[in-house]
Amino acid sequence: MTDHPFSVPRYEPQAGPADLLVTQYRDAGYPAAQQLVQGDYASNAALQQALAARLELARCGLRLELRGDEAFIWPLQALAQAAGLQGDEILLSRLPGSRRVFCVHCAQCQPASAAESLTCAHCGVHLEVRRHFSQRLGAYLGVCADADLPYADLPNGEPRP
Amino acid sequence: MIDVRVAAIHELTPVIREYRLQAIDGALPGFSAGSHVQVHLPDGRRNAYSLLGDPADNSEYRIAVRHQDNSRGGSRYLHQVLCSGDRLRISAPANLFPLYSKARQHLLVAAGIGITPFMAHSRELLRRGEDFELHYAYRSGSSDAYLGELRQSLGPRLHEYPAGIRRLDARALLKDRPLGAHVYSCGPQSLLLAIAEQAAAQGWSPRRVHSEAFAAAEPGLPFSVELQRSGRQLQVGAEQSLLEALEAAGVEIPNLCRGGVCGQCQTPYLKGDVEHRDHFLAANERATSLMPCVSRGCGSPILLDI
Repeated sequence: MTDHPFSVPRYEPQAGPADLLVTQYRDAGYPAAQQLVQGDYASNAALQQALAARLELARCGLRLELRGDEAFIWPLQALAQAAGLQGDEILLSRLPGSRRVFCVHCAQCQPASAAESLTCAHCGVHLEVRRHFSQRLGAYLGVCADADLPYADLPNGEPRP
Repeated sequence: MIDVRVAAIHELTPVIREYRLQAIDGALPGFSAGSHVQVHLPDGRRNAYSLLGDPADNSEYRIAVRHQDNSRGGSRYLHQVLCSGDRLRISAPANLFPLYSKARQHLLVAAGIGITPFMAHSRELLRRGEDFELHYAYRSGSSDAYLGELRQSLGPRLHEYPAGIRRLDARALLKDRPLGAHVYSCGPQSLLLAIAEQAAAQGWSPRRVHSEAFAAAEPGLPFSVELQRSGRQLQVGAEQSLLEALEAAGVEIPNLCRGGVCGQCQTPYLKGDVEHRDHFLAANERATSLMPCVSRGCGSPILLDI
């Protein structure tokens, strides 16, 4: 295991199958009553409400699996921990896809692809996405890629008025 | 280090006494529920006792001590020698048994004198209005300290297990609990093990399981140690712990629980036969580290890397 001087996403090992699966894509090998599928809900908020309702009735000993891209699993992980699940009772199965990035210059989060850089949707700074990860926000750290040309992606290289 | 005066001594049962300690100068430091202090005894020993008073009240510290027949002298001194008005020296409070702030239900499980940390916990939880239960196994008339007070303050939250009448069933106790439940146990090792085993069997994460053992060094056979860096030789008596022998020789090792659980006094050694008695070190760490608060030599002399 590599030690980092900063926070990186933590995935904990878990023995045995989960009692409840929350997934972006239906798993035909899983009993229907034991999975919540993103596509069955009108919005992520509705899916999160459904999960919260299930956890409210759940008993200690429950094992939960969250399966999907990082933008999908981390908010659910925060919800599950707030409901009383411990980190090692939640299995995170990460699929490639979108993730959240936190811009250190305007302190806002935004959805992003797996690309190494992007332009902040809120303040326009050209960001390099670091490996540094906030478990609390479920987001990677985005820092100005080139301090000499912070707005390289904007017309004329100028900030928005 | 704090100098205190014994303000009052109450006999709670024929074998348990409560001591109220007040500061000689100034105020006592505040403490959180689950904290303990080390009491420094005249022979140089230090014993750890839970603070059982209300954490919101730091005008005095309250500890309760059970007289142990096989005591190395600590409980005997407190029971038979110490008088109201006497001075005592204690260390500042430290907490190795705190309430888990994110828990949504707290299950407190005590046996006998293991009730002491839960006196503070239950007051704190009552004040916060949190969901909790106290399960108390005791022997009527000897290890049932504070029973009347708890019945009054906790009502249906108190579950009693008098010896010979009702057995504490760890399986039933943990069954069917909501997701935010945490369990805390304090008492003999057998109770702690029973709770931990049942929790694991019912799929609880170990992070929901908290415990405090009766932390005290047990006597053993005398043995000798050598300190690698200073070349000093020490003899550890049968009734003395290695930590106490080091302290008596002027070697201070950081420590909190003095009972082999907190990990503070971990000390490297280079050779010698060690009887490991702690609950802290992993098997692979025991080849090079020992916990001098409880562990002892049991054969060839120990060479400490200090």
